[in-house]
Amino acid sequence: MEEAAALFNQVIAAHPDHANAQYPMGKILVDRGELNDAVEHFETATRLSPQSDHMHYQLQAAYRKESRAADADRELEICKALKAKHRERDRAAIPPVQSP
Amino acid sequence: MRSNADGKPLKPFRCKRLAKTILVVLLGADIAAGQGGHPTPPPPPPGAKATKCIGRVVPQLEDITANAGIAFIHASDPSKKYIVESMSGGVILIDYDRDGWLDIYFTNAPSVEMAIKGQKSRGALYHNNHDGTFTDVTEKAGIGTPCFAMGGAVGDYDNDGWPDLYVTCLGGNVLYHNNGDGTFTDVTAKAGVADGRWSTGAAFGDYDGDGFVDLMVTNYVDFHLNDLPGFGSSPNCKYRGIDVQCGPRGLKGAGDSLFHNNGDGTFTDVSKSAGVSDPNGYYGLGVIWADFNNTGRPDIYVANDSTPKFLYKNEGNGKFRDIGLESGTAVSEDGSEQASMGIAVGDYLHTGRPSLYVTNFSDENDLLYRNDGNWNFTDVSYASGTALPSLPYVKWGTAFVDLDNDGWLDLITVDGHVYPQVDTLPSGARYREPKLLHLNQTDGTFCDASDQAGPALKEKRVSRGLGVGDLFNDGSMDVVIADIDGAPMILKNHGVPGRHWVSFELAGTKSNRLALNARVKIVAGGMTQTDEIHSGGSYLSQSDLRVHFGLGTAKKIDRVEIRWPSGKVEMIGELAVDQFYSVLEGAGIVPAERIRPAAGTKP
Repeated sequence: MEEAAALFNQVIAAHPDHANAQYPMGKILVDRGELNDAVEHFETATRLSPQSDHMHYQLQAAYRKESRAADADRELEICKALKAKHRERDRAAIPPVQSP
Repeated sequence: MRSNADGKPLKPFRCKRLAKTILVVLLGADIAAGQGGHPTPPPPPPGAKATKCIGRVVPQLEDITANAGIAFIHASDPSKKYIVESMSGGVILIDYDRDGWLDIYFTNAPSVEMAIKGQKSRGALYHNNHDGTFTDVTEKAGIGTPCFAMGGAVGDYDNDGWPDLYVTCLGGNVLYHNNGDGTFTDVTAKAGVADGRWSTGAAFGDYDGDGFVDLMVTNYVDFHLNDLPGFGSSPNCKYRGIDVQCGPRGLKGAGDSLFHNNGDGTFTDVSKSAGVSDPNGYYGLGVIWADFNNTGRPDIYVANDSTPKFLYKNEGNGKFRDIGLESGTAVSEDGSEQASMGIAVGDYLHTGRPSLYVTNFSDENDLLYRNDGNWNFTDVSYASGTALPSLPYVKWGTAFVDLDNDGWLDLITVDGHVYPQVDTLPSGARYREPKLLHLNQTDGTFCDASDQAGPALKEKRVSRGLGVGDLFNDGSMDVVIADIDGAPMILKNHGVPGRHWVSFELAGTKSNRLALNARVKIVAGGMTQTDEIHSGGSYLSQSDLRVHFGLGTAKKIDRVEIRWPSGKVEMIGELAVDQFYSVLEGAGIVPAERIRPAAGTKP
């Protein structure tokens, strides 16, 4: 875990706009119990990748652990809306009728 | 030497797996879509591990199916061109004649081609002969061909003391009233519980405390035999580059149903007003009622395929609120939804709170949601050691069950792929898969005993339903498994010598007759264990309605506390071990005859 954290820190230092590094760094910090710092990384990740529902999900969970209920609820609604949007996207055209 | 964008050298990795994991994370888990309808999930977290069981006796599970007289074969088109041909295979453990011995009902489903011709496949009811064998009594019972059947659940909807059977189907479910004479009557039309969509999971539970069990039914896909999705015809009908059946992704969902029991043999569809109709059409499979926050009111948990799972909090006013995402039980720890199938509920940590175990598709780990209280759950799948062994398989029926009677709930899961075509791929998942057994290590972790419990679990099959119960009334919990391609498995548990146990059969008076969702707490041998009576659960299956506790080496039970669905709490003093006890609400321990109806009589 420490090795992973070190690498993500290196990537973030070089590429602070890399949401896929900010996000796992936040998760590592949650595991360490460093919620304040985790929230910062999740907030950055969601700003950089606003369509990533799982990043909003982690941010709401971290807010909730920090007893920031209003912030958590707001992120949860964003997460739900994105998941619904992505489901619609995934609903490709129904394949044509076929007899067995 | 690798370098970063500024030309500074990056420290080399010691662990190649970690490096690979991190590379995938950096590239983004969302972008990998090499499995058609099944997006590639994120890799296991760094340091994920599983432990083989060492230095403990593993109970042996012997396949006695043939010698037990079970000749049932699940009919199924071997090519599985349509998703509806991949999902059936329920096991219903039901003591239909109330002789104190579990009987078995297997559901069956035809191929699509047969169904279009109006043909059905025969399910089977096996009567327990009390000597290790069973007799097929399907014809007398009259429940052989209800429909294009999936699974079902047991509940006594009219409180006459005879357990009734609800069968889920494609195109109209069936409620069988148990007549108490070895026969059943189809009362679906009068009861108003047909639904009519493609139903999968079902579970009875009394959500409003009126003493009559209500019925929750999950529906999977909006599927019609006259409008079949073409095999391999779109990106959602491919798997690792080969043509397979379509769905569920790309197909329309079907919504769910909650039927309120009116107490007069009829039900009212309250799905919408109760808030559990699933208007977005998630792909519903497993369902169970359980009191997750010790409120005395059962909540509902639904496993949805490829969509977030529901945890419906019972608000106590006839309404439910989905708190799946808030509670941490809708998605994985990573925030992504899985193709979820089966559900197990159990207090595996002795906290007095029921936790959740959910089975998922291959490359998605099974999920263990630890109940931390106050509607907060934590995904401890990897930390518990259950996640990693589950990754290669498509998992279905599951149960928390104390197979070695040490007083701690173990986990069993059955597996089998949905696409027979995977056998044409050069590597990766195969169609037939072994089963998984995790033994509780009493510290929140489990060890993997899948290859130590005898040859049956290692045998590769295409399994779906799973029910657990003490088939032979010998104090060890046995396992019944339904396969979609072929014969079921009756696994006799040979137990662990020197371990004690106790079993309780409850009968409600003010509460619903089968005491569904009654909670039993026992103190014995320095352990406090809690369990609840559940209708439905697992995948399309029903387990023993008696409450079984392993007791380890405890020689007596210090006390028992029962919280009935009516709210009444009943205390029972010291009891001997290795016994079956019958408990009547308000009367304590009674002879078994007092809680069992005589034919044609009311209790």
